[in-house]
Parts: sequence; C-alpha cells; structure tokens
Amino acid sequence: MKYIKLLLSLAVTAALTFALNSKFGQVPPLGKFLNPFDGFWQNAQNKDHVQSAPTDVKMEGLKGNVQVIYDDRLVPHIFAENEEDLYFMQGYVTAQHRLWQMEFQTHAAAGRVSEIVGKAAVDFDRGNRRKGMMYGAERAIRQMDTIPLAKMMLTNYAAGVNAYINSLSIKDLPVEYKLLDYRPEEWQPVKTALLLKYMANTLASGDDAIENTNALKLLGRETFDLLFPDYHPEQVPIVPTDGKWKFEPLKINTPNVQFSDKFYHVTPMPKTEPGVGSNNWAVAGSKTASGNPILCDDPHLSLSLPSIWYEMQLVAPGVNVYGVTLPGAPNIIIGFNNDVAWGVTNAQRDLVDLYAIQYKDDSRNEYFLDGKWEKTTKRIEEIKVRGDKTYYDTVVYTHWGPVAYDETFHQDKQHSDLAMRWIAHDPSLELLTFYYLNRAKSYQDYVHALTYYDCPAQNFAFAATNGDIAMHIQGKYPLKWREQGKFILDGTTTASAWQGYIPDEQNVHVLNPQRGYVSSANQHPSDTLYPYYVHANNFEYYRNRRINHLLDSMKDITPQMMMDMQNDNFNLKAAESLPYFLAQVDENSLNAQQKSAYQLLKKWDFYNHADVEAPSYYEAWWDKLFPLVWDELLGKEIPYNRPDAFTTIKLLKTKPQHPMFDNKNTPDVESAKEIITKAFLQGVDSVNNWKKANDNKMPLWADYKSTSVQHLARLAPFSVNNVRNGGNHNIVNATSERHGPSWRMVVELDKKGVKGWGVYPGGQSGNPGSPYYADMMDTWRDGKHYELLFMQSPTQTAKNILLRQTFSN
Amino acid sequence: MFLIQIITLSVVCAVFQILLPGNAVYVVAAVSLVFGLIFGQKPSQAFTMGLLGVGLLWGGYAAWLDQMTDSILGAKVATLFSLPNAPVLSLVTGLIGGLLSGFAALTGALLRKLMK
Repeated sequence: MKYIKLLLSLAVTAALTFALNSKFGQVPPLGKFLNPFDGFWQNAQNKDHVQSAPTDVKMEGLKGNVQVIYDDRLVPHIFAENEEDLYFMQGYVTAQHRLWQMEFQTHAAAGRVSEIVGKAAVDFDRGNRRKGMMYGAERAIRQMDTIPLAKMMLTNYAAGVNAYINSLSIKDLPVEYKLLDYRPEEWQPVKTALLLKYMANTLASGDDAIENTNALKLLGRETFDLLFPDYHPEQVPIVPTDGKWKFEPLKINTPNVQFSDKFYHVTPMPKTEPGVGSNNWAVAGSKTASGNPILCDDPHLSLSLPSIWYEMQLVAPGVNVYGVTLPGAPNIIIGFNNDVAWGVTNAQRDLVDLYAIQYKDDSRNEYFLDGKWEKTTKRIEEIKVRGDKTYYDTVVYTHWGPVAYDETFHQDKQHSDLAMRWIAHDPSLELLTFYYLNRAKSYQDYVHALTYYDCPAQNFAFAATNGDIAMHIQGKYPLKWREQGKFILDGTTTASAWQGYIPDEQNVHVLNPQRGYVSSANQHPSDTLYPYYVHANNFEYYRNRRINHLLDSMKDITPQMMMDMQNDNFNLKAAESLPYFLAQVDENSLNAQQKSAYQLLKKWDFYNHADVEAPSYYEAWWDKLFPLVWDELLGKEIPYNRPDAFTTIKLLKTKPQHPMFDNKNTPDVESAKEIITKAFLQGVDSVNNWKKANDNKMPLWADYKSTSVQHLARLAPFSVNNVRNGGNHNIVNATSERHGPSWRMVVELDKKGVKGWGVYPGGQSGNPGSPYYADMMDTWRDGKHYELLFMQSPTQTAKNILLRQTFSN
Repeated sequence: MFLIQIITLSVVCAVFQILLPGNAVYVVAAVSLVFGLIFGQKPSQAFTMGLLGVGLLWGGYAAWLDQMTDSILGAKVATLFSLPNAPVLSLVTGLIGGLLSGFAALTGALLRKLMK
C-alpha cells in the first residue's frame, strides 16, 4: 500500500513536471510561462521602467562613447562618435524594442515559420522557398560583402543586435518567445537581406500571368482588353509628360514567340494585397505660406503590431537624420535631415514573369532551351517542422530562376512547370541608397543615392531647403516588349527573355515642375507616350486624382493643411459612381427601410467620415455589386483576376448592356440597371444584418468598417480592435479594415531649421506589456501628428526627455 | 513550526529560481521533494506546505507584479487563456505552482515513511 501511494504521488509529480514544461498545441508550457520569476509576468512594465534603466552602460564592441537619448514617445536619438558605433547602436536599440518582430519577419521570409508553429505553416514556408527568397537574399549578401561600406553597416548592425541578444536573461525574453516556446538565434547579416526580400515580397511580387493567361483564353482578345486595359485615358499619371521625352530610348526587339494558350489550374501564391499602397507629395515654396517646400508621405501597409516602422534619430560625424527604420535594416528608410527630406510610395510594375518549362523526363535534370537540353540545378529545402518530421522540398533552378510551381505544389488537376524570373533574385545594394540618402544635401546627392536602388521599385518624393522638389520612379525595370510577362511566357527559348533594363536616367522622373508640386499614389508613372512598355496589375485611379485636385486648388499651404490633407476622407470613387448607381434604382419599388437608405445616400456629401451612416450603405452596396458583376470570373477552379474598381464603374456607366452584366443563372437578360438594383437591396440587407448583430447600433462608418491592427502572430489580445477611423481603399486616408497609413509624415524644409511631424498606428515598444506598445494609436486615429524632436546636439535640453544613456567600451 | 516550514520552502524556492533561471518547474519540484523528505511531516501536512508555500509565492508575486503594472499584460494574457481578468490568472498561477510543489512534497514525505 505504501508503495502504491508513493508511486502514485511520484507519478503525479513527474507528470506535472513534464506537462508544465511542455507545449501542447497552442498552449505554452504553463509552468515556464506562468511562473512569476521568469515567465510572462516579468514582461509587464510601467511608465517608470524606462527611467529606471542605468545611465552609464558598458558595451563591448564599441570604439567610442555613444549617447542614446529617449524622448517621451520612447524615440531613441543616437549620438555616436563614428559610423561603426552608430550602426552598432542602431542594431542594439532596435533589438531592445523589436527583437521578436525582427526575427519573426526574417524567419517568415526564409520560409522557417514551421520551425516555430508546426505543420500549419508548411505550405507558406514552401511558397517562400519556391519564390527563392533565401536564394535572393544570399545573392544580395554576396554582393554587399564586396562593398566595404555595405559590409561595415551590416556587420556592425548585426554585432549590436547580438550584443543585445547575448545580454538577455530568460525573464527578459520578449513575451512571444515565451508563448511560442522558443529562443532567439544569432543575428546574421543575411537576415537584413532577407528583410529587404520580405519588403520586396510585400510590395513587388504582384504577378498576374497565370490569371491573365486564363482570362485571355476564356474571354478572347476583345473582351480581355476591355476588362484589363493597360491604361485608361482618364488616368492622371505621376509625371504628366506633355508628350516630350528628351532621351533616345533603347531598342527592344519583339520576338516571334507565342504566349501560352491554355488554361492553368494552378493556385497562385498570395501576392501583394490590394490596400497596400501609399501617398506622397511635395509642394514647392511658391505654393506655401512660409515659402519653404513641404514634403508629405504616408505608406499604406497591412496594419500590424508590433508596428512595421520604428522611429529614430541617427547622429554621427557627417550625418544627422530623423525618420522611420525597418527593424532589421540599418539607416533611416523614410525621413529628413538638415537639408533634404524624402518619402516613398510603391511604384507598381510587373517585376515577376513566369516561364513555362519543358523537362526532358521526370528526373527534372534537364530542360529544353534553344534547341538543346540544358542541365538544371536543384536546391533541397529542408523545412524543419515543430513536433513533426522535417519536410524536404526540392526546388529546381533553371536559366530563368526557380521553378516555383510544379506538380508537387499548388496544382492537382494538371502538370505545369512554371519558372519564375523576379527582379528580387538579382544581387543589389539598396542599403547604399539609404546610406547616401541619410547624408544627402542636395538633389544631386539624392539622384546619386537612387542609382543603387533596384527593388522593390518606389516613387521617391524629394524636397530640399534650397527649394528643389522632385519625384523619381526608381527601380530596376526590365526592358519589355508589349505585353511581355503579362501572360505566361515560353520558357524553351531565350527569345522570351528580358533584353536588358531601362537606364536609370530614362526612368520616369521630374524636377521642379511648373505646377509647383509633385505627387504619387500608386498610379501609372507616365502616360502612354513614355517609350517603354509599363504594366502592373494594381494601378490606383482615385487617390492620386484627389490629391492633385486638392494641391491644384491650394495656395499659402501650411504644414497643418498638409496634415489635414493626409486625413482627407473624400470618396472620389463614390462621387463618380453613386449618382449613376442611384439613378438605376427605382425608388418607388423600395420598402421603407430601403427608401431611407436611398435617401441617406442621396444626401451624402461623399466623405467617408467615421461618424456618418451613408458610407456604410455605399460600401455595403459596392461590396455586393462587385462580385455580382464579375460572377463569371469568381469561384471557379481556374484562377482569374477581377478587373479593378475604376474599370468596373466605367463599364457599368458606358456599356450597361454588355453581356458581362447578364447573370447566366437566370433566364432573363440582365443589364447594369438590374444588377445595380439587386446589389442595392443586398447591401441594405447586409447593413441591417450588421445592426441585428450589434444591438441595433447605428451603422456608423467607423463601427461598420471596424479597423483592427493585428498582432503579427494573430494573437487577438495583443491586437487593437475597432480603431474608430474614417477613410477606406481608394481614399487619401486609406484606412480600411486591415490596411492603412503605417506612418504619416510632414516635413517643412526651412533653412533656419527643418521641422517634422509624424505618427504611426502603434508604439515604439514591441512588448505588449509596455505602456509604449500602442500609445500612439489614439493620436493616429484622431488624425493628429506629433511634432518630432529633431535634436542638433546631445546636450540639447527639451522638456520631453525621459532618459539619457551613455554607452562605452 | 508549520508556518516556518512553509516560509522556508517559499524562500528557498525563490532563491533557487533566481539562481537557476529557466528551470522554475524543476526547481520547485526538486526543492519541495527534498523538504518533504527532511521535514518528517505527515503526508497531508507536506502536501499543504507545498500548496501554500509555492502557491502563495507564485500567486502573490504574480499579483504584485500585475498590481505594479496596472494589469497591462496580465489582462491581455488572461483573455488569451479565456479567463475573466488578471487576478484570476494570478490565482491560477498560484494554484499551478502550489499543486506542483504539493505533490512533490507529498512524494518526499511518502518516501521518508517508506525508508523508516
């Protein structure tokens, strides 16, 4: 009996010990996680936490002294005596606030999420490996290693990150490591390259060759061109050209090759989402009250916590720059110094082409190219899977690039081998662009800095204290013949290959235009007179025209007017479509509820403000109408793209009788009028259903839309939900449900001292247990900006300084 | 006497957890087992010692940390575990530590009885 009791008690103790140290599914190891000595409770901080940090810190690896001054939003202002120390401390300080995010994003880029979360992420990981993210990062790092300046930044940044990782005690590990039960690994320079590929994937992986090839076959040429035109004449490009381009373009031969003519049952990998986009503009002194140029930028990305951006000031001999950084990469990415300011928006361009490959046999050792069998190379991807056996995926590399899609990946009905040619696979030195931009003093310096910039292609707005304003659509753009890469290309002949790249000086750009401003919002870079073929699947048609309309009509501009303009909620899409939509609906046929919605819309001023109801009805209407219009292209086994909003509205208005508008499932022949009415009734129903689900609350736009800023690992309590804000897609204030302005910046280029304002939806600390985790959210929601503390010396006093630290060896 | 034993267990567990970070579960199990072995208590008393000693240590320390930080993280993690609030989560924290220690101390006490 004694033995049995003992054994029982011992068994319970052993089982508890084991269970409390083990992760079960989503549940973290409870003993490790909950114990208050080094579990999650240690991650909770209060406002005093920052000030209680030591003021003098010994730091091995530094050459001189570095001062780090934190202001009351926890923005570090780093003053170093040399550049090596500057990048070392940038790495250290960033890791201190954002280590988990830095590592998670680069793990994602490398296709290593399965290591952390298990087999649910295997398809995602395979996708990123098949896209050649690591292959591209490795090629980039080999190139950067040959440039001493790039190597200096990368190695010092990495050393700083590692100094922080090595100083971490278990109790101070970011809470996500405790929750997901793993540890940070050493930071290597290749991770910085991976982060840049992560951005390239977010911004420049949009390819529609599979969908276009299918659509062309389904619809025929005439309808395809109607639905997916390269350009609408109503478009206002970034740089209007007046028909004059002063350079001699390179010759491009259009080879006699056929586009693929078959249906592809291939599920495309996720690509750049609609909603990812941005606004930037710069106004010349001639249009401002002070006579100083003003530059504005607000990149729209997926709204996430920890925030995509981390704000800081970097000062060393030869540089004093303020702005936002990408955690994991040295330098300021968007910002200003004492002479210039710059900001970016995504330059839409098709930078991925797919080539159909013909293998000799199932061994996939040889493929057909120019009449010969060429050897492939194989890269065996080892995907470690938590709690499961390692997944091995063989990715075949050809002359074109990795064969991203084959019979083992994203196709079950047929066998198509598609190789991917992507600009992000090429070695590049974007790091140097930001190094030189941080130190730029003039337009010439900015142009020089951009010569190092390849991918992801961006519209770089620029302004300087000397009065210059400029816009360069910079990237490495392949020379393409008409429609090259819009459809799947023949991979058996090098005649299908890119014939070179557009020279930097022939990229679309403008300096000091007559109209007194430059602007971009992801629209076409130029009109059709630009001598090179330009194609993308996601050009914007609304924000840009609204921005230009406002800037055209403004004079005596102040920074405050620019901040307000970044929050402009005017819905140009509604203004151009709603009157037509309303005219299609027979008001007399409506019931009382429908009638009141109709009246609400009729009186609406087209502003998507947070606290009005009309935008909810309009957006609900649109959300029903769009799929009704394109039902032919939806829910099919074969993937198709849907035309964009601008094209859809234009077709509804100009070709209301087009057969496209007929619902094939009904015996009657419908036109635009019938489906617009049907969508209206369904839209009113969705709003009513929303009301029923929400205690009969008024469907105010902010509540109906319900913007949420989600944690990167989708942990709901670490997310901020229902951020009450107006705007939407296609509106200058581009805040939709999951996307929006990820950093709003306004800079006045005053010779007597450059002034900046900024805000982002989050906070400096990546720790959900810190008061600085999402402390800027409400300011951002309310459309306000903070005045940025641009320090000129470390001894400068300011009332909002929290902590001054000195680091020395 | 019993109170002193409880406090001693609490203090020794705390010291070893600080000295051996990342090993909280092993530390609590080992220390409690040894205390159950050397104190010569009745098995039920040993169990209660562990339950209270480490239960109050974990629960109390967690509640104090939470209090100092206005439940900034406790509330979020409580939601993650589908618990109503941070105080309940600190109670659960205490219960988990207490049960582990209680069973380990019980094992120690039973072992002692067997060796006699």
